[in-house]
Amino acid sequence: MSKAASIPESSPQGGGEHAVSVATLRPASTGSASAPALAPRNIGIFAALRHARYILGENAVTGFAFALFLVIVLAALLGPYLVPYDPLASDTVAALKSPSVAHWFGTDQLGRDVFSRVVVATRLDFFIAIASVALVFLMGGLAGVAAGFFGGWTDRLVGRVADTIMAFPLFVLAMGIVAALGNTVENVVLATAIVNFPLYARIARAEANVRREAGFVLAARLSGNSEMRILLAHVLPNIMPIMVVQMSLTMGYAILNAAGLSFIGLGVRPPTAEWGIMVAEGAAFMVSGEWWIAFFPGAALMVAVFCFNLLGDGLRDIVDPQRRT
Amino acid sequence: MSDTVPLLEVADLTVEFSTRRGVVRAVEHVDVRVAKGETVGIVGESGSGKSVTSYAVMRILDRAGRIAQGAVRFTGLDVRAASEDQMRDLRGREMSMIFQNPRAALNPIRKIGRQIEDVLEQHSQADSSMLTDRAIEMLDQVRIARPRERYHAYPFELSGGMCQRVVIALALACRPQLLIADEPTTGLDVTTQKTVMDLVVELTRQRGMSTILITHDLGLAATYCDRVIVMEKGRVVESAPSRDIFTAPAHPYTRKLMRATPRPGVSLRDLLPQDESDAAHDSLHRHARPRAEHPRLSSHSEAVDVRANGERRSGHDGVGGATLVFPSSGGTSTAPLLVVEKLVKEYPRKRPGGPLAKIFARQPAPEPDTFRAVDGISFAVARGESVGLVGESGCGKSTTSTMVMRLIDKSDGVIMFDGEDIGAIPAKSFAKLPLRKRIQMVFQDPTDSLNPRFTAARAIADPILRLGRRRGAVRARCEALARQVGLPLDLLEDLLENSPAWRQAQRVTHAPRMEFSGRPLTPLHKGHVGLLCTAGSLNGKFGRGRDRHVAYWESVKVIDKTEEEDGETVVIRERERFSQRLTLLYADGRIALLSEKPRGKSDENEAAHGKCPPQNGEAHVCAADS
Amino acid sequence: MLRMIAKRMLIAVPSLVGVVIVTFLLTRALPGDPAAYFAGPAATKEAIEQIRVKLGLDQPLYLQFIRYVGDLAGGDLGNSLTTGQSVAHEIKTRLPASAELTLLGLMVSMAIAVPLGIVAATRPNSLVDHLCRVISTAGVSLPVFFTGLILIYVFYYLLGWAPAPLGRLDVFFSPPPHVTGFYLIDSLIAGEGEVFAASLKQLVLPAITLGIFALAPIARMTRASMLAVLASDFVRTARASGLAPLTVVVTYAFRNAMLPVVTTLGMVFSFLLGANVLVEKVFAWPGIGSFAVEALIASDFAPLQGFVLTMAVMYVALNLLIDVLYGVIDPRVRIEA
Repeated sequence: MSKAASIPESSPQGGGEHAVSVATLRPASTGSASAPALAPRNIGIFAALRHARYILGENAVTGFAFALFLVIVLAALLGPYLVPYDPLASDTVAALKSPSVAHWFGTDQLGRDVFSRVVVATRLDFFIAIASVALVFLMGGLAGVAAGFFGGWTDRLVGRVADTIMAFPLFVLAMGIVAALGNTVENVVLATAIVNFPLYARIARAEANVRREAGFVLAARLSGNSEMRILLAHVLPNIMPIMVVQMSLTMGYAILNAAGLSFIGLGVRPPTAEWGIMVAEGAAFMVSGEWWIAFFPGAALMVAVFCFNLLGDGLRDIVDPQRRT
Repeated sequence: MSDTVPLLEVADLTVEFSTRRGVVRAVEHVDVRVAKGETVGIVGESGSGKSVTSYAVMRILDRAGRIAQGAVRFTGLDVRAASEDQMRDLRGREMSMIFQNPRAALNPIRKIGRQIEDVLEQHSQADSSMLTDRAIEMLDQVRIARPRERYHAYPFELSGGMCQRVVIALALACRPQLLIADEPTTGLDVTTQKTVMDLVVELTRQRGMSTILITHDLGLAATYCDRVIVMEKGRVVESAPSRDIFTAPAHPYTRKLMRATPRPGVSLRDLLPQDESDAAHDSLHRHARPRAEHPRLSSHSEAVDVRANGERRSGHDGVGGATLVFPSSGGTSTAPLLVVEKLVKEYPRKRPGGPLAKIFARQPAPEPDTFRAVDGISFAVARGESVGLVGESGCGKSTTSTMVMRLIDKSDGVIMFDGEDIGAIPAKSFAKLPLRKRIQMVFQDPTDSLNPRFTAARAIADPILRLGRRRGAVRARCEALARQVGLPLDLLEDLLENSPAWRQAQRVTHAPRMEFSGRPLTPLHKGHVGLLCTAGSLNGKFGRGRDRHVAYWESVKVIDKTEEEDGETVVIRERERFSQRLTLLYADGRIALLSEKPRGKSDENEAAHGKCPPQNGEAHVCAADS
Repeated sequence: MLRMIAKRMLIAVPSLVGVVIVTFLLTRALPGDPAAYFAGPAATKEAIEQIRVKLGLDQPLYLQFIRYVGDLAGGDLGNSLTTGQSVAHEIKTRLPASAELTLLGLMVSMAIAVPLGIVAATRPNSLVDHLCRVISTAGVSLPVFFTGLILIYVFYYLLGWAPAPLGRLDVFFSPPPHVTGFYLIDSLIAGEGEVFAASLKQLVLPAITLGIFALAPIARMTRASMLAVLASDFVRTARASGLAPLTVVVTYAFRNAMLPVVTTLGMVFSFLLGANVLVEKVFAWPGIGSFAVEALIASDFAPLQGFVLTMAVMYVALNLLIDVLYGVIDPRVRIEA
């Protein structure tokens, strides 16, 4: 039913009062409301957190992934202080011992405690992942957004660069870059970032492009906003959720990439503790039955990547449920 | 209506869907009866359950849906108890369905002829040697030209209207007894709508088929159906012969629908949701205007005169000019607020083959290198006047309005606003001028005009913030605007994308001095019309939908367009009861011009019934689809 | 149709140009003295100077580039320090080994992933569906070298079913006469059944490793694509017309669903070619991947450059093939208005 109410209102043109009837329609659809109570509440960060907690609670898997993520972060931050053994200390007497109470993950060929090394390696791998993702977000995200929003030469240039990178199998290109620039961890980070650049640029560009002609951008122009302000205040916040999802997914890939490179001897050198190189060192012993040297770092790799992927999927569900696969 | 056993009998049907929020009843205790040869219309708003009912009849409900209660009997057979094999037999052969959005309804990578053959083959309607011939025959029956050639076509090579004919061919190939048409004309251009409906009617009558026409358009139902069933929120509220429905609607909901259906003599303001205390008849009669008031509409020849007045161009893509055959519109003697003269917009035409092709081409190009989207249109809008720009898709109306809004630059012509030549100001710089806030636009898709990550409050406030006001004042202004527009205050804080009433979004776009409406709503139903007018109460603007019934303007300009590829030249006259006020003439795509006096500002009924007078000093132009 | 193919080939040209430029820059971008890198770690100062002149590294950059392109056109990829052989020759000899492995791995993955995805989509929330989803999510998390090692441990060390991961053939057998370089095909051609069986045995574990790696993205894409297509309007029409379920799933749904899967193959190949390197290291497979890895360890740069170039060119060619295949399947692309 509609009800009419008269509200004395001063007109925007300052032309005095006149009565305007307002008809209130009933809500459009019953039973579809997703948000709970409609009481005015703080907007912004609190609402976002509340919403996130609601979703995490709903979806056990995402909650689990998040918990795991926290464990990994803790291990990265506090690991080196909490491990029982010095990850670099070798003890040839205790070499090649299978897992036991003294050595949870056993010892490797140099008598180093595998458990300690795996935990300590978390920091390095995590750092590599974060650094690569941050770098590629800056490079690719900004380039893509500019390309999508401004079009023209920017678009063409970014497109060319991305296409050239994409013409290579990505891991092979990463190999080439690290080999050419020098065998260091920094170059591994750089190589991973370069290799992921097209993906980010393309996503950012697509999103910016879609929004470039979107109604609200047009409306913002109508309100008198300059292009830059539209880009920063209107378009960028719209893109952030999708970029964050992508970043989470890429963290997993970045770790795998770095581990793969160190498996073939690029980036990290012995005796540094890093999951990939530990698997490489343990590979030879797999064949002769000392499985634990390669197994635990490999499993740690798997768990970390799995966690990031789950987190990324969960974030995507929060942010944009329509993209679920 | 015969007394024999009905072809289709639906009794006490209840359909449930299991959703994340529990079990939802989409359809409750619905009765439908269709006799042999009868055409029944099911009319309702979206969400009324009309489509679900037909899906239940054919048993093609979603996985999440099920028939919870009731019976469905088709030629005596119990549909609910039938096995899936039996149903598959029935589908396509005894009962078939055509849907909205015909191009999407066809397999995009399969030739249309083969698709028809698939159906024929499935139901063993012909020997394998005859399949192709039968398919071509069907294509011919649905009036597709050159059927032998078109047999090999893919859906993307055909126009929307042709695709719908192919869908009809698929549905009728095995000569079923019952055809269910689910919104078959929504989404098609107006000319095509009529041809498609006429085709359906002809073919079904020829074969003595029964038809169920599902639509939101009461007018359509009245024209083509023997009986009409009105559904609201999953229930049947009224079921009667179509004449009775329209002359004496019994149920209040039906009356509401009726009032919301535009017809001659009724202005858009009447289409507002009324208080129930109003007698439906009263409002109809009070606002019906005798045709004598509008001499321009008195005859078909009038429109022809108009046509003769204007310039004529023959078939090229581009837009013919409409001269200002113009009515003394309206009461105001002051200078018009907006004057547009010989406005032109050209776009460079993309040549296939790239720049080199031009150099190496053996003959000069047959068409000019530029494409004229708008070709010399002129019109004026007085203060307080509403003007509608009407035309089919592609005729240039949106381009025109975008130019007047100064979002894009014109190629030629003059745009004067309140005495200033705003056409000369480049679009880029216009944003910063104070003039900007005097000309605003309401967009077609409310969900698109609004940044989904903003809250409603922020969205309303954004332009105000831009123009520099204090925070407290901004908040108060937001609330004032929200109230004016009928937006519940507590929704202000919700992120728009989470808001349950996304449709309320239409109200959020606020209104300053001059407005363009670019198709704000597709005609979902009267609720929307009401919504329009609520916003209209602010500034007297209104929009239009694709439904040609909805346009209701005070004066209309002509825009030329070339016609559709498969469209014959169609002349749509004013129909008996439900065509709209405008006479639309589609000879070579021109539309007749007409106008009426704008309403006076003080209508004694306005306050009581919530009409929308134009406010002081405002004017509006609306771009519409015929 | 031919026009479409020609068009696609034209589009591939800028990619090739980009590849050549990048591989050129890679070795010229080495920090320090490129000549020293090419001469090797053990070179004397004179040797370095010799190499510098020989390779033209004292010339301006654009001249070097022209020379580089000229060399490439003549099939000269430089020489390997460690073996002394021409890189081009090495790559040519080793390529079939990698190709055989990769192709077999791809076949394995598609044979499992595609049916899995289809069944998962047609039976939502069933066991198969859950299995598919788990595999898709977990599969992308598995490091390929780890999988290989686990497989070796289980199937060779524990169960003894698989042979020792020592290369393409057990020492007791000699390779079949060379026709394609693919041992499986060549041995069949030569009628050497035992050699065929032996080659197959060696191929099983590495191919499965690669297959598992490619399984996840293909299964995920197939499932998602099928789900989308099954929910589409034209499938609804097909059902409403009473078409048999098999027709609906195969003729109407599957063919349309495969389009995005074909497009995904391009990305899958990118991963596969990279994973190839890792798998070859784990299984001591004598392909171009292990060739590159050995060169890396020895700081031998010419083979590395040749490797990157070859892989990239192969990848461009593969993408071209996929594009053409897509055009064949999808008339909307084929029929250019």
